[in-house]
Amino acid sequence: MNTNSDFLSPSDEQLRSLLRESRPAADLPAGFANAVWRRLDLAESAVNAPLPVDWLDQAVAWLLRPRLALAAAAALMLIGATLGAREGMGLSQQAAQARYLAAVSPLTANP
Amino acid sequence: MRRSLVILVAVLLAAVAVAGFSYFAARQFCVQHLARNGDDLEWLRMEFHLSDAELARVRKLHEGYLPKCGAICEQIAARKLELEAAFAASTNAVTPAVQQKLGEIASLRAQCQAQMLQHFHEVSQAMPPEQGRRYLAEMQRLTLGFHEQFENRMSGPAHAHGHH
Repeated sequence: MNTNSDFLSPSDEQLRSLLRESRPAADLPAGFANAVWRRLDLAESAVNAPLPVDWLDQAVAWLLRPRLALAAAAALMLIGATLGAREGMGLSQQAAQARYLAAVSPLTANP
Repeated sequence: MRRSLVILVAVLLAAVAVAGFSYFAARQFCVQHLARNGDDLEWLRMEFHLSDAELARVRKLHEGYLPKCGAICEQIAARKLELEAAFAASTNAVTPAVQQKLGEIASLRAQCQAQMLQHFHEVSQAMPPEQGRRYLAEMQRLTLGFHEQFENRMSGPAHAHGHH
């Protein structure tokens, strides 16, 4: 089977070397290859790293996300305050009712 | 694993603390701010959504009613003292004098109750119709219902005669 190089003429070879010279490759910084290998190793180790040991670790990691923690705290405060306000309003309503009843109907309070 | 468990327990405790603190703070705030007003009629204003003008009308009736109610209560208190004296004089026997005092007290109580019901009727007329009806029903439930409960308890199986 013929390849392109089989058909290259000496002028093509010259053309190729001219093209190579017209696009000079920039010099790589020192230690570039080492840095590349290091990054490849890191990426590989991250892919192969074991996931959190069990569901508890995962749950805790999930719970401790700042956005979620903040939202949960706000929701708990809102629920607590709503229930507390409801209870407080009921209690003060009862106290006010007892006060009125004691004023208009002493016999009910002290039969 | 153990560290995660500690963190989870701490998170749960913090959640309970946050919710609990919010609950008690809001509850206390409401109790203090809504009960701060020492007005006898505050309940009417809140429960029956009375306007200032309606509340003023009710207040006038209330202030007119209180001295009359107080006068009957004083009479009842005086008759009670007389009853105690009559009872002590009869060495705890139910004499005609004791019966007479009991009758006087019952009559005064009936008078007090009639006056109270009349007052409730007048107050209900000073409210918007729907609120007035609700007020009257509620007050009858709270005052007459109280006696009914008492009588029902007394006439219950534990107090039924002839079953001992």
